[in-house]
Amino acid sequence: MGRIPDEELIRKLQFSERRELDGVFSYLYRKVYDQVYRFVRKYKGIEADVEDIFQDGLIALLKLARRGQLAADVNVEAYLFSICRNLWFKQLQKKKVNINPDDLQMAAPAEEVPLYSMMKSEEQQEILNALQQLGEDCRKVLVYFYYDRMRMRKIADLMGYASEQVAKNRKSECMKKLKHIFNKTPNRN
Amino acid sequence: MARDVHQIDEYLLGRLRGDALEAFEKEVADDPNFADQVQQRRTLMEKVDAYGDYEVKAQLKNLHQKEMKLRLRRRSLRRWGFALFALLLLAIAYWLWQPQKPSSSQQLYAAHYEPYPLNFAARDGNTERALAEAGRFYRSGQYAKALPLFQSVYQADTTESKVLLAIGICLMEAGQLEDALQRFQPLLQTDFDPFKDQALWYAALVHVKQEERPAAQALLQQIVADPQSDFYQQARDLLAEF
Repeated sequence: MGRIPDEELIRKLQFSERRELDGVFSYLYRKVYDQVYRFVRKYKGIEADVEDIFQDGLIALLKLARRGQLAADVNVEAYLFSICRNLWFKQLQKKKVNINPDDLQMAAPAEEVPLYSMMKSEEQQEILNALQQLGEDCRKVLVYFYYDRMRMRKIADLMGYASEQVAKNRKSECMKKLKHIFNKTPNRN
Repeated sequence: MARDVHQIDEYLLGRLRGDALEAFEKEVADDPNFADQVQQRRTLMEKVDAYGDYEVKAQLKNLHQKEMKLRLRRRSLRRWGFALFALLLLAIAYWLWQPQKPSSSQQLYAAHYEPYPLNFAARDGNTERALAEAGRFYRSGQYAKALPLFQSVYQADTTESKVLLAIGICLMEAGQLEDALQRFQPLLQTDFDPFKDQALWYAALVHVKQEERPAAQALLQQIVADPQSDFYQQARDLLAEF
């Protein structure tokens, strides 16, 4: 498999729609997964840990790219590996496993840990239920805007709205609706 | 209270810059209600963000299955490739270093058989003349013509072991191997005969041609038991080739 230049990877991670990202994810799977596998296994991880850590690493990378926080000259493969390594160290630290201090040189920024993975399962379920109740249309608008960091014009295009303003209004309505759903949920934060 | 929620979003998404950002942060600091509104919005945004993580994770789990299947297929193909390559190497190695196969009996016979050079001097008398003529045919390779003449001479004088040997060799040339063996038998059974070693050698060759190696070996062993035998080295070589 040929190498995809880093700038292209970053551009795709930052701007592509989610369904178009499979190619980039597959590429990174083939380039980085084995490295992460060896590393996690070296530090007592099992195969399921590798899968989890690698996927969380990809999510973290995607979010950094969506927010424009990936430097243009970053080596994406090496960076993804360092994210995964730090995510695994964080898990080990939680489990009070001793780690060689030399391996702890790079601490990952907090935002690299995907929020969903940090939550307890009840909280995860609450969010899933709420977003499901929201309906597909609203869910898409909110996820496009807050998660994928898309501009209103693009959201309007994707959703088939007449204008950017329609998309903006729709987002406000959906946020109100979501707030309402959470407010009536007894176990809300 | 009727703050523009879109501006709050822009702030939370880190898109406010310069004076706008400064003014926004001042308001948050000065107005607890507004700060609360911003915080509530942040909380909601984080929930949407977490849901986004969930969606991507689900997408990645699907992809993981596909990637692992592909990986298995690639590994399996690689393994087959290695196996084929190893097999090819083995085949080449075998071809290069294959042990010398024992020669077939027919090959051994062809390699070792040649008619024994016999001379029959012309003397007086009909029998002697017939013998001389048989000898000429024999030396010129006309064994079919030599055979009846040798046989008639032998009938006249059964003590002629040299003639018996010649008959045996002529029969070998004619492909009558069993008959040849029978002719050699009297010579093999003697304790001493000037043509016993020759008879042993040619009888052994008959056994070789008939794929009877143990019988051939037994006769050859008799030859190699006597280092003075004219056939000592030939017998050793043939035994080694067995």
